[in-house]
Amino acid sequence: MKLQANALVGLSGIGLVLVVALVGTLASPYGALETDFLNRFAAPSASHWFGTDEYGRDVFARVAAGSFVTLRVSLAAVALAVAAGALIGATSAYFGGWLDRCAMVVVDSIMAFPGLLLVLGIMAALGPNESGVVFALAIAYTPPITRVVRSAVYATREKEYVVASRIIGNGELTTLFRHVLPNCITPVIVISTSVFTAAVLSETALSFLGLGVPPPAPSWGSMLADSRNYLGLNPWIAVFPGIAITVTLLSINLIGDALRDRFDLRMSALEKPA
Amino acid sequence: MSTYFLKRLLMIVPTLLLVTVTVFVVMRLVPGDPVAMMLGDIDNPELVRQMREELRLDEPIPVQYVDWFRRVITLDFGESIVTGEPVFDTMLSRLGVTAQVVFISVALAAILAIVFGTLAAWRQNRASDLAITMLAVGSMSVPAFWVGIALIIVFGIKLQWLPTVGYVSPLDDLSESLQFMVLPVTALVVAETGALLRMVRSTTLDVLRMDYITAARARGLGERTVLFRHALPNTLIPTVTLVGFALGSLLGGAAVIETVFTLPGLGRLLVESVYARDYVMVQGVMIFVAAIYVIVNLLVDMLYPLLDPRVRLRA
Amino acid sequence: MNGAATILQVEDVSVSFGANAPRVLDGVSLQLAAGKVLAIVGESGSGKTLLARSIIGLLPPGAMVRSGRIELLGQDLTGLPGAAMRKLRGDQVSMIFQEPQVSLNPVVRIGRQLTEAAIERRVLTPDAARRRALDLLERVKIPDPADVMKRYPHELSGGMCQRVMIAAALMLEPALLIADEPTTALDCAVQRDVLEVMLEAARREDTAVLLISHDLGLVAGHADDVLVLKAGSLVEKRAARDILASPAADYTRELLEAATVARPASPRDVGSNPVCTVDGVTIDYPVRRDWPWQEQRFHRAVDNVSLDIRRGETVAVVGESGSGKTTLGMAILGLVAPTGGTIMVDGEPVSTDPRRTRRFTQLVFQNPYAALSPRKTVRESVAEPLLVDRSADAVSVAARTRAMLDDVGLPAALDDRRPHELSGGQRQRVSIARALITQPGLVIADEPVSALDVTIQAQILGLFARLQASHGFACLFVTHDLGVVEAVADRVVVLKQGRVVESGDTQAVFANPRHAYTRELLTAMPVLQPDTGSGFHIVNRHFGGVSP
Repeated sequence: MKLQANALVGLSGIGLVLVVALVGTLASPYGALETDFLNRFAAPSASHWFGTDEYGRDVFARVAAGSFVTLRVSLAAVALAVAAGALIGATSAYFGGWLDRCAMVVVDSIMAFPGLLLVLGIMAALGPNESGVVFALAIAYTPPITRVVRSAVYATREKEYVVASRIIGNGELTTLFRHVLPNCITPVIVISTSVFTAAVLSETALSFLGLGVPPPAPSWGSMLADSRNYLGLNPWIAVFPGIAITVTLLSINLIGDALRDRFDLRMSALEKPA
Repeated sequence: MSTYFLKRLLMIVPTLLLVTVTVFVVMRLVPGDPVAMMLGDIDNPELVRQMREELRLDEPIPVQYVDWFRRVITLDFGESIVTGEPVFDTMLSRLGVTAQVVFISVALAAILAIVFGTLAAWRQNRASDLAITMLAVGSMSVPAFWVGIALIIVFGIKLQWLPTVGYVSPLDDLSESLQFMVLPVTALVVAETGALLRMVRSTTLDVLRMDYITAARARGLGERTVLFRHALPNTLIPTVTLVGFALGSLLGGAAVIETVFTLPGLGRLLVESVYARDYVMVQGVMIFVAAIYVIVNLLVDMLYPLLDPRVRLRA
Repeated sequence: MNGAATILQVEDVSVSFGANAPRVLDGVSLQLAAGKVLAIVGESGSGKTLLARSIIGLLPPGAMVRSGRIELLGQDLTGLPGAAMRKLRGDQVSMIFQEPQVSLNPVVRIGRQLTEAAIERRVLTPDAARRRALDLLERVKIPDPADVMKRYPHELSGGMCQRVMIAAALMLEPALLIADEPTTALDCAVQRDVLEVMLEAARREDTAVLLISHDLGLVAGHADDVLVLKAGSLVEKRAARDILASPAADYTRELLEAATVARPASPRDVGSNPVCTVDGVTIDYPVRRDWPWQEQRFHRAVDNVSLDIRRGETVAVVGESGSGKTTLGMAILGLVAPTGGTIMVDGEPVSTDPRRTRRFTQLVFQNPYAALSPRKTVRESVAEPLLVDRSADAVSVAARTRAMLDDVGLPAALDDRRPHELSGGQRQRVSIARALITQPGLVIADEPVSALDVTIQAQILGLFARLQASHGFACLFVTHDLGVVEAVADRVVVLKQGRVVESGDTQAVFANPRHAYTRELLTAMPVLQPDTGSGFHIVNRHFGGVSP
């Protein structure tokens, strides 16, 4: 009951963000980069729903375009990190030995950098650009996913049904693909959603610092950064991108919760059969 | 027990070594000639030659690393390309600001998370639990910089209650310093408490389901004793780990909040150095902050045997 | 039950999860007088634990007492507010649990866990509480009580922890002690001791005991009265002596029969050539070192063990946890490499990558639920061993799978179910079918019934004996349960700390155990035997000195 409510609110939140994104880019009469110096700092009105900024650009169109940037960068980074993490984690856990040790050395050395530090370092070296952000975020998020996959495979590898698979004569690869990996998917899905929220947070923070997707491309973080000079008179420039970030994060968090509860329920149903 | 401490202590040596290797590798990601990047538009062959020599860019890469590493372990991080100041001194002077904000924020966030997380678990699925959980998800969904901006709009600009940007050292004027701290600390607490609280709640729920809690109740202990003397010590073990992570990561990752409130901390230093292409400073800050993070986590590990008698055996 | 004052009176109590859910405990009544022991016996799902929890007011979340009265010392407990109930717990009614090591808080010293309730409620001063705790620890036969008070639970064995739990439960001299499967999680050799210590301590304090168990044979000898529950309903309630001598209900009789030792009638066709020879096998595990330069030490799990198994024969390996019995089975399967000695299976040495040997040797697991892949259907799990040969054709695989499932008594309606949709007995049948479908010559059965209810145990053991007669495989039966050994094994090997302490013909070993450890195991286990009439009686084994 509560589960479904979470998932429903989360999905409609994401839906709302996507509708705004589509309406703002396809149906809006204004472009995200279109300046109008006669109409600077216009308050929200029927013609400019979210008002205009210091160059007279339509904030609604910019918030809409920004959602594509944030979602594209975050999704790409998470997809790369999940692919790399699953591959490295599964092979290193299943085969163990020196392969595992090498992989863990690399993972540990990346995880010794807290929060955004490594991403900032990489962005400093590469300079602000979109593929650089994706690359940096993917590198930062691969280690935690690797860890989760690795421990899931480790735990599953010791399960009796995996021993059973060996006893009936299955080879190592058959056992890995038929009995181990299918039972490790749940934790991967759960960690992926929480890494996704982290990626959205990091992308907005990077563009807030001016180290993300370079201007003039609109992004929620850089819009908030720009707004800081005009907070006294024109706070809506900050309010709307902020709301967009919060709605997005809230939705992903709620969907993640619903997924986790669902899997937890199923796991406990599996642990304690009727 | 002493084996445990010694092992933990020794284990940070390879980690710190790897940190230096990683920073070195990342700094080699700079496309093209780093000196040309640093100097930007300045066209001065003599300056370029001088800098290449200073950074030893003409040596083979392993030689460069060993040479650089030898200086780093003596805390010689070189001089800033921009100001010419020693990197280490600059970092030390900025650390105080960051530490002040972060320690206060994490302590408050941890207290709030433990009190309300335990309460929510104890009142599972009641109205108070739902309210607390919803606030926690809200907290996880607002970035600190957005909270900071909202606080500036409301308390700084509309109500004019508090100063919004800048920093005064507590050594100069304690009460004024605290006034400058209020908004950044609030922003961090709002953004950081949610994740901690949810972890405390779910751990407490797990602990409350354990047989020893039922057994404690069966012996006739009051709920307060059950909650605070039997459940809490067990929830503290994972909580301390997460608080350690938050503390360590904010000590280095407060760049965003320091930018919002223009605080002269370590994070701001890093961001400014990135803007200024001060690679010497950037690599210094990266190593310094990672080292702080590793050491904070080491201290947390050192706490385990005090919290959990089973760790003393396992060593 | 006349004479002593009534402590507990339960009248027509029903419990359900939620107001409209079916009743999981349905209209149960009982009565218990001071100093008496009432055993509540039932299998999983009988509602015995819920009955206990409803008396002490600690039902799991969601469960509620729907109707009836629970009177403790004349006071009705149903509908009593939480604070009032809390005052009664520990003081008038107390409880001990199945898993002693998780029933004690791992981060709190034993001493404080014993004394804190008395001190918090100001019943005793800290000094007096400590004296009382030391006194109780001595009474439950804990050596050096003052030292144990300073320890943490993980520093004590399971049996010791359960003694501590007993002492903690008796601290405030409750009128009623509820013991929920107090010895099930303990090693056999200490089970009877702990049970007797508990009942003795309770008797001294004139505390009534509600003893909950799945094992009618174990508790009937210690209880005054027995109440049998099945699926939430009362089956039978009688004096313990009567229930054994003349069980009235069919279900009670079924429980008693399951607990008796009955050898399968069909004589086995035992060949003369061994299918498996274990010769001087030693298995060492490396012990974790603190530092890499320290000398590598080993833990010897199996120590110079020799045995052989002939075609069609069942050899039981008996031992407690840590005796090395499971490791030995793993070595015969080629999953663990021996440090020394040789293992021959079907005329060839076992190596750790032996497809052929593994096809010849199969394993039936202790926990069938963990042994079956949660995502595979019954049909898929059982057919899988046939599909390892890529040449197998689909029609014959399907036919052989179905035939095998018929053989273990699973109807076609279950073919597409997954493990969580099956009962425990059905799962073990699937697991057996998967092990037998390739017609192995040797089956290792690792505690195959210990996770099952007693009546299901009897069914599975019967099935296993029938399959062995028709398929003719040899079996190494690994177990801790001597009752099972007597029922299934031709020969028995007793392991202690990795060594064979005794081996021989099952009947000979049981009639005349030579080693002190075997005698200890056998005396710890009371045996239920059928009378000449329709009843049963308990036989406690006694052995004299060492026979020549």
